[in-house]
Formats: sequence, structure tokens, C-alpha cells
Amino acid sequence: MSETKRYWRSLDELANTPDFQKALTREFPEDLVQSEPDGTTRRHFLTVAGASVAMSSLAGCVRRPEHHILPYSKQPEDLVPGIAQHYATATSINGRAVGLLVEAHEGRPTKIEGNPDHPQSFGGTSAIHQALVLGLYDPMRLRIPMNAGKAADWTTAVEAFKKHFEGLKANGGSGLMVLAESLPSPTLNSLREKFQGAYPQAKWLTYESLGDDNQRTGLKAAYGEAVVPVHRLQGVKVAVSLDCDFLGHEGDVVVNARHWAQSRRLLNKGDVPSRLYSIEGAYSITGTNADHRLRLKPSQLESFLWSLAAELTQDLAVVLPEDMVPHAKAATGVDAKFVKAVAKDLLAHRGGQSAILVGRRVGPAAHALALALNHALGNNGSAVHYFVDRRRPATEAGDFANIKAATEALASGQVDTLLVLGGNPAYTAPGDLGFAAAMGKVKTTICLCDYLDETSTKATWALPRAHFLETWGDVYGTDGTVAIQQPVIAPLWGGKSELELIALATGEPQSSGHDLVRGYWKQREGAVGFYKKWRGWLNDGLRKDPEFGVVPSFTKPAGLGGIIPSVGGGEGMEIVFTDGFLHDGRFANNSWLLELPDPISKVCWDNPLQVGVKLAEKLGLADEDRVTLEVGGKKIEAAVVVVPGMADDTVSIALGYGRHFGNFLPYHEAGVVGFDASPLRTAASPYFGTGVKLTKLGTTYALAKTQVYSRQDPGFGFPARALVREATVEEYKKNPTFAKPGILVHGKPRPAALVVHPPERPIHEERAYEGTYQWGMVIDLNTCTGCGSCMVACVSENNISMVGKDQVRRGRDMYWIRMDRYFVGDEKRPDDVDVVHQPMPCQQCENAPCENVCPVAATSHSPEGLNDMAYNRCIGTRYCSNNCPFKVRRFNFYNYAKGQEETVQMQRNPNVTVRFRGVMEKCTYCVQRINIGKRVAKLAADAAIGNAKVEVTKTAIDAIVPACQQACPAGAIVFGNIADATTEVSKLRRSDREYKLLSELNVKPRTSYLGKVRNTNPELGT
Amino acid sequence: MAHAHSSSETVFPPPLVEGKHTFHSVTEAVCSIVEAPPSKGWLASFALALMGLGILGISVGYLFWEGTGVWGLNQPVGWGFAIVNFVFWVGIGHAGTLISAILFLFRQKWRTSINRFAEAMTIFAVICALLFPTIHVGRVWLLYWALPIPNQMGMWPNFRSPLLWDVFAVSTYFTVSLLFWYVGLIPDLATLRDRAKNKISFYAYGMLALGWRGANRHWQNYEKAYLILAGLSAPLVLSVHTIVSFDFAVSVIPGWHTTIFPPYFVAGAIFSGFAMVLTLAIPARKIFHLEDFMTIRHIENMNKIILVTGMMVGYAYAMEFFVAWYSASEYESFAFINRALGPYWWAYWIMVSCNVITPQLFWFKKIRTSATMAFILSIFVNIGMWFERFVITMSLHRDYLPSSWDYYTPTLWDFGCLVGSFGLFFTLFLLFLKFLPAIAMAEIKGVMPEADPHWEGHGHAHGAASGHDDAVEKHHG
Repeated sequence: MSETKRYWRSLDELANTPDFQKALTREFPEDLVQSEPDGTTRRHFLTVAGASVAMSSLAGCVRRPEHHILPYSKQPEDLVPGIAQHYATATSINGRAVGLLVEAHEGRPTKIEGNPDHPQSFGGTSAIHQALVLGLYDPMRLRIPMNAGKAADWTTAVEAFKKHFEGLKANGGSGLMVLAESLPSPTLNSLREKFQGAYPQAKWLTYESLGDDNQRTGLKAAYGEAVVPVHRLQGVKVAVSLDCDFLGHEGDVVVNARHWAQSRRLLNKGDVPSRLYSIEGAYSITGTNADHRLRLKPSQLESFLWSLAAELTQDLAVVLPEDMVPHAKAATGVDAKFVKAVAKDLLAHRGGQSAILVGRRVGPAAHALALALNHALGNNGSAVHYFVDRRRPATEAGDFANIKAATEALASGQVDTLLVLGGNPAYTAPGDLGFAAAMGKVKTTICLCDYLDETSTKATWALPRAHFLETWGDVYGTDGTVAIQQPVIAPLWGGKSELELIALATGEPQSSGHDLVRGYWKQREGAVGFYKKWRGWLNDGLRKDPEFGVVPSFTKPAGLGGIIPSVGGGEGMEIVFTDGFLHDGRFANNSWLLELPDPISKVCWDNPLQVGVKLAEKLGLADEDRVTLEVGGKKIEAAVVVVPGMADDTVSIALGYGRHFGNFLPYHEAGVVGFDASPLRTAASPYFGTGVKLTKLGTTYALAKTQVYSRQDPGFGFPARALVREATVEEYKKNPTFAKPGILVHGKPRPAALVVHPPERPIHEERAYEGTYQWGMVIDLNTCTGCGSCMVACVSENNISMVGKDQVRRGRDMYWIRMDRYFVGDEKRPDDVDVVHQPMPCQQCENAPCENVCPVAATSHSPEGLNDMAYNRCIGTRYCSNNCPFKVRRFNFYNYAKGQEETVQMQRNPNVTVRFRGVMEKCTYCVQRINIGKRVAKLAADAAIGNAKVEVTKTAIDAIVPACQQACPAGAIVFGNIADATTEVSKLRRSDREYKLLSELNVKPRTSYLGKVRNTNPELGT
Repeated sequence: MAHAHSSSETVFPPPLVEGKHTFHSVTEAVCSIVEAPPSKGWLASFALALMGLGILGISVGYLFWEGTGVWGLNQPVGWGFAIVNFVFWVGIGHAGTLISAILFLFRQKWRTSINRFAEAMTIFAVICALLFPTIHVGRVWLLYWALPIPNQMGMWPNFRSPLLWDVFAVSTYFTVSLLFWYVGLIPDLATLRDRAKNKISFYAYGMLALGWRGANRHWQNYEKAYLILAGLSAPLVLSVHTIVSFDFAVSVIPGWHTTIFPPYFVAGAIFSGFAMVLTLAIPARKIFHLEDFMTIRHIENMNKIILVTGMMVGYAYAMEFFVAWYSASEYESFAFINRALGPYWWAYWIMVSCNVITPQLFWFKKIRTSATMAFILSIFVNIGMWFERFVITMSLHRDYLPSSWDYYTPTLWDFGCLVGSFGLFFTLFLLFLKFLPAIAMAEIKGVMPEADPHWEGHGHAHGAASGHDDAVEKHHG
């Protein structure tokens, strides 16, 4: 090798720069020491690491649950871990279908939402629908078949079942009775026909304990066919509800609320909200939304409608069927002024602008009369439609007639085999029938049931029923739409559906629900192109059915058909049997519904006897007093809650409580929840009772209320606080900005004190909030019905713990959005009150008082205007909650989330932290949804080209909805980006009715409210 | 001092030490309490106090195990007994420093016989006070996050939070008070060391006495240190309760958000502190026969302060109502009417009766100079001041939105912690009485006539001549 040949390490060496010379002599090049971009040195890192070891040994005292995360050994197609999947499905409760979208995380259904395409949902749901997902994971559900109280397995059960039914086939099914819940399923209807073919002697009776015999009988007489009314209230100007809780618990409440809200929404100048009259005995959700409410004893309800008919028929254009006329003429005894005003109003809004709705509790004649009146007023076909009742064959009798017939048949020993297809008749049957005793005479009882309940514990075979999220099915909507019930998860414990069990009984070759449903529709639609259709239905959750909107032929109402109206109304105390969130008791183990407070009394975990203020005074009763309640010789014990707004001498109690099986909530003392009122019902009068006797027992019973103080005026002569700001239409017209501070409250000038006090000013500079996304919310008090759907949706979305009766009693409920309810009215007439609802989520104040007081900065503001809460950082001083003027923060006084059954934990939303004890929590505007939405927007923008980027981003951002808004059937909650002037929330924030609570504190809430406008009838006064 | 040289008879204050005491007899009287075997009375009291401490242990243990839910707290009342007790004990802790520091700086010589007592009370009261913010948090194991310790999260505490100011204020106060107390103890500890009869007490007191020999230089340094610490403590008397009051005043809650709170809280603290000193001193003086040192004059002086501060507190109560009305803030007016007439009316009227009405009895000299009456009335003040904090804290129960109003009912565990904190306090206090000189011997000797080189010239025989007029000799007794 030549000496001149030179080996060099780099070009630097070759150039032999001074820098290189320097670098050669240095042992540790600087860029190695300075390893981190933020200037952290290795030594510094080690220092911090050492400190963190020391700290973690301190923090090591914290108990952390041990969990294993296992990967999929075989990755399911279309499933990206961490990204939720949505499936369309549907369910029906008491024969009323609602299309749903179910959110599933890694195969676990976690959240139920309404299907925006389904005409009984339009995206909203009721509180009950929101809670159905918890029912799926209920650890108390029956998991294995039980044979005479002993555990069996499905193979044995199926064999025994098959064998038993084969035996029955020989004699044509004589002595066989099927008692089924109302399930409007096309496939089940076809299977039922097959079943009747196989067992011609068998009886199939449909029974729902909240049945609508009255409606069925009345409409059958008047219409000539079994029909069901469907209301389209979006265009009405006047609606009259005769004890019909169409916004709360009766009928297609979700779509009713949506339509009614549409008629109340004041978007443009000059809009007038519809007017609602409510005539009822006990306050219902609908009643709280009425512009005028007439309190009437149950026995007088029908009289009201006859009086109204008498008043209406004075206009010659309103003609009633002949057999109704004399009854109308004879009608007396109700508030003549009110009747006159309603009649005048109805006559002024003929031709589809009004509707008369009659509730299921009112007698059949009223239903017939309402149909005739709606017809005469020209409302049929526009505001009121009558569709074929598909819930059961036209030949079948009503619910209470059925259960009566069934009990008689059982008692007389005509029945050898009783197949109970869902439902719990031993508990729900009217007390005078003695169903439970009659059931004892049956040789073989087979129950397809959710729980070991009052009925199935006495059964020969108790077979676990699959949850609707576990099985295939199909359901008719009231208007004839069909939705496919698509399972989201395999049966947790191998339950069977009604379809599968009936198929088994009839000996169908297909046994799985999927094959049965698909088979039925394939046969019906034809094989050609079926696959595509089927996939379309599953995707949409809806079958665009040719049957949709089929209306039976109708020319004019036939009359009463021999029904004798029940008019008059006697002396003495009367009772109304209402239904609340537990429905007929089937949700009695659902803690989300148990803890959800009654919208009026605010009592949860119980169904106290509601007594009006005057009556309570007369009888010397107060809240929590125990009484014996005697109706028709039957007695039960109950506790009293005093509620304004009851009709004179009228009490009410909700059904569905007093069930005798355990609860899984750790903080609820095991035992009976509430009082069983079923014994007081009779098959002849299942909803009302007369001759009620109340005896004070002198003892008390603890009741849990989520709201203790019920008025906006604080007392001691202070003026009402301007929380719910309302005006009448006239006042609104005169002064469209009535809700703004300093003008009017309930028509009167705002008390000066509220205005004079100058706004507080912050001691530090206020933040500007100038980013692209600034979140805000507007809640329209004019359309909010107070139904509580948002509360349960929030619970479901945000893993909110239910705390149990005792903790609620201590004032520790955990709702992130609560429903404030205030009574408004003259204190001298305590029962003539109005009710206002005000949903109260975190107001996300821009100058949030909670933030500066936290010693560890666990709650602070995001640049997007959210008041964020870092649970991990919270040490639990509760100072933030103390300093919250809205008291919307919630504290984990105990480890509420701990100790829940594993199945219940499966419901949890993985995108929301489960909070530990000692941690504060509160509404986040569903920040997890915001972040998912922003990610979707980013991906969409990345995929789009050019100008489309802006558009797709906006679309994705505008699609972000928090759980409360999503669930709200009335569309009263609107959330969005207030930095973008074109969003709906921005438009609403510019509304003249917009106001912010406690603006005098300068907290600058991001949540605003739209003032309530009551469309009162000037003739009746306010 | 100047007044001591005055020729006018009326200017002479009554003697600060009564009876025929020499320096030696003072030493004997004070040290005998420590040196003698525990009396039956002490043992019985100590057993009772330990029981209280046990209750605290159980209550706090259960609280830590279960969570703050064991207390009666709810939504909206997020602070209950714990915070009430905290403010109550901090308030009590005020008298010690006031007596030690401020009265020292104003050369109020009568303080010498009660300052040790009061300082000890301060230390123990502040310990009790510090207990409550510690245990009241939801996640007690993460409490250190409220301290400005460098950490891997790169998080400082929130310096805008009054609770954090509390952390600094109370811990500073505790540190300075402890130092002040300890510095004052050193000469007396040396006395005990020198009188020690067994090895354990010899070494224990010896170590605590830090090698005190009573040298002139020691005394010079001691006096300087004492003066400096007194100077440091004096502003703390005002600052601590001012900052504690910020917990409330900085919030937006009607009934809390008031600018009157800082002076009102300080006055209340002095009020309650003096009452507690009396509550402790009157029985102690009886049991340990210290009447000669804690004379009726001392009691009367303290009663006068109670009378003054009680009226200041009363003035604050009246002013709150006036300002609530004058502000025209509907919420504020309501909050105060609700205090007096709302669900907690009973608490409000207990507060007014005990803090404003009963102290008025001190206008009567007979009552003012009666140890029994002073003791009874001091108990009233203690109760009243606890209720004052309760009434203030309970402003939470009815704030802005009536929908969230609720009522706070304390549970057994709330009471357990309250009673337990007294157990802790008395345990510490009884230990102090037994093992440390309850009266500052060195200081009290300094105000005896014998300490004055010219005392013989007055013709007032305050005590028998002892001939020991050298300050260096004080500790030899």
C-alpha cells in the first residue's frame, strides 16, 4: 500500500475543520448528552426517574384491580379495536315498537340510541329504551332452565319441551293455553298461525297488564275494526289530552314528543306554539307540559268529554253518531268555563289543526266519542290516523278480558299446559282474579321468562328468555313499518326467543331465530333479489313496507255500538293506577330506571302514594307517612308523598313496584322496592278505583327524593329566582326578549334587586377563547317535556354510578344532567300549580368558579371552552363543587363503581374513565364524542380534495352530538360549535328567547336556555 | 421599668405573682408538677383523653377505609364538620401566639404566667386543625399533590386556590409557633435537667435544653431570638385566619363571599383562643395550685379581651346583615335571612347567644373576677365559636338554585372526629402538663419584684427577699 493512501472517517476529517478537531478530543459529544429535544439531560432524566420511583412507592399503596387484556386470536372482520360499531335493531314494549341503533365496543353492546330513520323514533328514545342495555347485563337474569325449582340444562329442557308438545299434538292441543306478551312480530304472527294449525284446540291469549282494552273496545265500536290511533302532532294548534300521557308513558311517546315539540318550537318570528289542554286526575308528564290543565277525578273524566261534545255540537257542522247525541245532551258536572273555552278553541282549529287524545285509563265510550269528535272536527287523516292494530289478531279480545278468561279457564281446571310467553301474570294480573292461585291448578306450566319471578318460580319449567339484543326478530311499528330486530351479541346465557320456542313447539325445521325471521321474509318477498333487500333492511334497521300506512276503510264513525258511557262521578276518594319508569314491573331490577326520579314527585326507588296538598292537609298526612290503602275491600300498605296538582279527593300510585326479588346494587338494602298495588286492581276497572279509604298508621317510611325544594322563590318573601323564564304568547309578542335579564319574569317586571346588583368582575384577565372550535349548548325549555331520557342516556354514555336509595336520600345522586322541576303558582291554591322542567347539565362556564379553587388544578379549561375534569389529578377536596353556583358537580363519596358484577361492567363505555372513590365528576359535554368527532373530521378532510375539505370537516363536526341531545325525543337540546355562526346552536344562541343562568355572577355559561312561552287561552286566564 | 419607678401609688399595677414567693418557691411550684408522680386526677383525665384519641383513631380509620361517605356530606354541602373543626381549631390556636408574641411586643408583663400554657395550646390546636384538611379529602393518599414538590408530572399545585394558601399559611404558623414555644422552653428545660433525679429525664431534658448553661451570652441570644420570633409571629396572628377566611371569601357562594371575613375571622379567633385558654387554665390552676401565678387579675384581663372581641364579633354579625341588605343582592340577603330563620336557625341562635349575649356578663366586675363564672362563660364561647364556623360553612345548604338545596345531617362519624379531635388535643395537653413546665419559670421570675434591682425601694413587699437578683441565677431556683 502506498503511504499516500489515506483512510478517512468522514468528509469532516478530510477537510480537517476546527470543529472536527474539537470533536475528536471530547469524550462525550454534546448531542449525546443532550439527548432530549426539550433539553432534558441524561442526568436530569435519572434524577426524575429516581424521584418517580420514590413517588410511585408512595402511590403504591393504591389498590389497583388486576385485569387481563387478551388479543383476538382471530380478528373479526370489520372490527377495529377501540372503534365502536353500530347496528340497527328494534324492540317493542307493550306492543309499541321503536327502531334503535346500538353501539357496541368489541362485541359488547354499550349504548342504545334511536334509529333516525325509524318513524317511531326519528333518533330519539324514551328513558326506558336507554336503560334496556343494562337489562341485558342484569346478573339476576335467569341463566339456565329450571325444572320444578331445580337447575337443568338446555338439552334436557328442549327434549322435555318437544316431548311434551308432541304429546299435546295427539289431542289437537286441547288443554293447552298460551299466555303471551304483546309482541307485534310478523314472523311470530305467522308462527302463531302455524301453531294454531298444529294445536287447533289450544288457546292463545295476549296479555299486557298496562293493556288498552278501553281503547280497543271503543274504537272497534266506532270504527268497525280493531284499529290503533297514531298521532301526527307536528301541525296541530290545539291538542286536548284526556288523561293521555302521550308525552310520557303511553303509546308512541318518542315520536309523539318529537312531533309535539315541532309544534312548540319557535324558530321564526311570529311563530306561535301549539296549545295543549290536559284533563287528568294525577300529574303526568303530559300534564306538566299543558298550557291549561283541568284536575278531574277519574270518574269525571268521561263526563268532561261528553260535556265537550255537547258544547261542540252546538256548532251545527259538528255532527255525532245518533246514539251518542243523548249522552252528550245529558252531560253535566264539569267546569263549564273550561269546557266552553276548549270547545271554542277546537272549533277554531278544525280540519287537522287539532287533536283529541284519550288515554287508556278512560272508559271505551270516551275513545269512541273522541274518534267521532276528531272525525267531526276534520282531524282524522291529518292529526289523527287510525291504523290496523297488528299487535294481535282482530278476533282476539282485549288484555283484561283475556287475563280474566285465562284465569277462569285455569281455575276451572280446563288447562293442563300453560305456556307463558314472557310477562309475569302472577304479579301483574289484577288482584281480584287470583291468577296465582288459579295457576296452581295447572299440571304443566312452562315460562319463557327473564327472571325467576312471581310466575316462573311456580312453573314446572322456567326457560331463560333471550334479550332482544341477543336474538333475531322483527317488529311492526304502529303505522305498519317493520324493523328487523338484529342481535348485537350472542345470548350471554343461551336464552331462547319467543320465536324459537314457538318454532320448537310447532316442530319447525328451522330452529334459530335468524333462520326463522329470514326464512319468513324470504318466503314472503320471494327469493329473487332477497339478499340485497335483506341486507338493506339490516343496514337501515327498517323495511320500507308496502303495508306502511295502511288505513282500514272508513267513512264515518259507527257510534257507541252499545257501550254504556260511564258518566257522573260519585262522592268519596278515588285512586288512579299510573305507571312510571318500571312500566308494569318488568324493569323492576333495572337500577337506571329505579334511581331515575319521578318527573313530578322526584321520588326514586319507590312508588309512594301521591296525595294532593289539600287532601293531605285534610287527612293530616305528610311525606313519608305510612298509610293503609283500602280499595274495594283489598288493603295494601304504602307511604305518602304530597304532590301538588292532584285532583280533589284523588290519590294515585304507580304500578310495577313491590316486586319480591333481590337487587344487585351494592348500596341498596336488599328487599322490596316500593309497594305492590296490583292487589287493588280489578279486571273490570284496572286503572281506577273508587271508595278509597286511607288510614294513617302513625309510622313513617323513608323516601328518597333527588330534589327537596320545589319552588323558584326561595321563601321569606323573596321574589322568585329567574331560573325558568317564561311568558305567555301575548307577552312574548310584546316583548320578544322577555328572557333577557332585567325585563320580565312570568309577565311581571323582574324584581329590581336582580338587576341592580352589578355583575361580578374577575380578578384576573378573562380568557378570549378564539379557537376554531368553541363548544356550546342551547336547551329549549319550550320543547323539553321533562321525560328524563337525557338523564339515562347520560348514565349509559358516561358510566355514571347508581348509588341506591340510601345514598340518594343523603343527597348523593350522581346524575351529570339533572332535571330540575319547579312548581309555579299561587300558594293559596296549592293544587292549582304549573310545573316547569329545567335540564341542568354542567353550564361549562367560561369564567368557571370551580377552577380557581382547586388546589391541585384538577379542573381547568380547555382552549375549546370546556371545563375539563382530570379525574386522575383530583384529590377530592370538594371545593369545586362548593363553589359551583349550579351545583352540577358530583362526588364519589364511596367507591360506587366498585363491586359491580362483571356482566354489568360489560356495559361500560371504554371511552370514559370509571371514577374511583374520592373523585369529583361532572358533565363533560361528552368530550369523548367530541374527540371522536374531531378525529372523524380529520380523517374525512384528509381523504377529501381541495375545497371539499372544509365542507366535510364541517359536516363531521356538526354531526357531533352529546348523549343527552341524541336521546332527547323532543330535540330540546342542541349542541355544537359556537365559533361557527352557521351551526344550529349558534342560530339558537341568537334567538330572542336565549338567556344564560346567573349572568349576574359573570360566570358566562356556555349552556344557554330558551325561555318558555305558554300559549295560554286568554279566556281562561293564566 | 418606667411605671415601676413612678411615685404615685395608683399607677402601680397589682402584683403579677401573689403569695409569698421566692425564685426558689416558683421553681418548686412549677417543677413539682413535672417531678412528682402523676396524680390521680391527671391519670383519670389522661385516661379520658386517651379514650377520645381512640375514638379519633377509629373514626379516621373507618373514614379512610370507607371514604368520605361515612360523614353526612352531600350535594350541595361538600364541607361539613371537618372544615368546621378545622377553622375552629385554627381559631383556638390564635390565642397562643397573640399572648406570646403580640403581648410580648407590647410589654404586657401579665402574659408571662399564661403564655407557656397558651403556646402549648396553640401548637396542639394547630395539630388538631391540620388533621382535618388532611382527612377530609377524598383521596387522602394523594394529599401531597397539594404541596409544591417537584414531580414527574411536571405539575405545580394551583397557586390561585385559597386551599393552597391555607397549606402555606397554617404550616408556616405551625412552624413558627413551635419554634417560638421551644425557644421559650429552653431555660426551663435546663432547670428541669439540673434537677433531674434519674438518667432518662436527665438525658431527655438535657438534649432538649441544647446545652443551656445560663451564661450571659446565652441570655442575650435567647432574648434576641425570642424577640425576633415574636416579631415574626405577630403578623402571622393576623395572616393565618385571614387566609383561612379566604377559603370562604374567595368563593361565589352567598354567605361566604364577603369582604368582612378577614377581620371578622381574626377577631373571632382571638375571642375563641382566649376562651380556650381560660377553659384550660382555670381547672389547671386549681388542680396544680398555681393560683399565685395565674391570678384573678390574669383571668380578669382575659375576660376583658373576650368582652371586646366578643363585641367585635357581634358587630361583624350585625354588619353582615346590614351589608347583605345594603348590597341589594337578592342572594346575599336571602342567605342571611335564611341563616337566622331557615332550617339552621337553631345553630345561628346558639352562635349569637354564646358569642354575643353571654359575654356581656363580663361587664360586671363580680363575674369578671370570678374564676368559676369565667370558666362557665368560656365554655359558652367555645360552643358559640364552633357554631359560628358551622353556620358559615352551612351557607352551602341553600345557594343559588333552589333545586339543589338540601340539609346536612352529621353522622356518628362526624361526631366521632369532633370528639376525637378533643381527645387528641387533651392527650397532648395533659402530656405537656406532666412533662414540661406549664408556667414559664424564667419569664415569671423576670416580672417578680426580685428581678428588679431597685425593688426594695418601693416599699411594696411583694414577697420575701431572697437575695437572688441576678438574672443569670434564675434557672438555679
